[in-house]
Amino acid sequence: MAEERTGLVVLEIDECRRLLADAVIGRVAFQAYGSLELLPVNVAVDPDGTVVFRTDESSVLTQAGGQAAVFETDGFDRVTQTGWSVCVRGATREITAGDDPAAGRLLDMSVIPWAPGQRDRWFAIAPDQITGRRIPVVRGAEMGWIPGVVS
Amino acid sequence: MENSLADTGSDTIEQQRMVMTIAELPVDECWRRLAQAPAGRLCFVEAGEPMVLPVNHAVDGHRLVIRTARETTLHRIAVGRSVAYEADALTPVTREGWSVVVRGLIEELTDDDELARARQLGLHPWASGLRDHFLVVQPWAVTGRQIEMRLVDDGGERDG
Repeated sequence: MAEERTGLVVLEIDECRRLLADAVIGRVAFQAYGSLELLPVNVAVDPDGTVVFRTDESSVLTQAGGQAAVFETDGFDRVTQTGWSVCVRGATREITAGDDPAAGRLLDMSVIPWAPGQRDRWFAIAPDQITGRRIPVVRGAEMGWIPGVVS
Repeated sequence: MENSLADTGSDTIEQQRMVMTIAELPVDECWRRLAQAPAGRLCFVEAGEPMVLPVNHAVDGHRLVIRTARETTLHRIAVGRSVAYEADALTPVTREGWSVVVRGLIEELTDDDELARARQLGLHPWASGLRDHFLVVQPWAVTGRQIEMRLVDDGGERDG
């Protein structure tokens, strides 16, 4: 459905989930040490919308555990010639095999970290809210839309 | 700097080695990249939780300009706040790319001369409707990094 006031198309939840299912990269926003962090990460997204990412001990990303976070991913759909953006908001937790009933499933997901090396800390953002919007081609072209992810 | 990309390592491909290098970008280069990227993501805290809004932007000197309308979430919530603004170009297949983050205070332009100048930036917001307000991010920190993969012909040892 198009938002009359702004012309942006608000995406239905099913379409958000479909776009999320293919996401391999995006950005995670959270607060750490009183500062806003907004970092590109590689992810895998569970069919229920849970966003899984990996990191290591030295990364500020480990500070996302226990915090409210937003995952954003966007791109350009060549078929419909539209730009889109989807956000997942929710609490972030570290996935620990012992006491997380979803751990088996989530730790089995294929998350390929951007940088090689040890990436043995796994985190999940539980999807409290999933929102998305699409920007029609004419408007996108007029406005110089390029997707954040170059493929 | 510590973050998801700040790492080095290598992948072995036959007798050659793919070496990932991560370089901090100089501030001027960060601004040059931002000027090339028309879009990014504005992040701020609302009711204790982070919010992310994808928007397009223009660069005017060493500040970011965003055009909006008074009734938008962006105008209603973000003005006067500390924000982080991120723009990037990332290629998942080759794992190359760059990311720049600007931290600063977001303010509305009210000075007539400043507004006239902002209107010359060719900034067309994605959402249509009246967009007669210009916001600027006055930066206090700009950081960026470039991630590259290079093939090195020195055998197959891993150093990651």
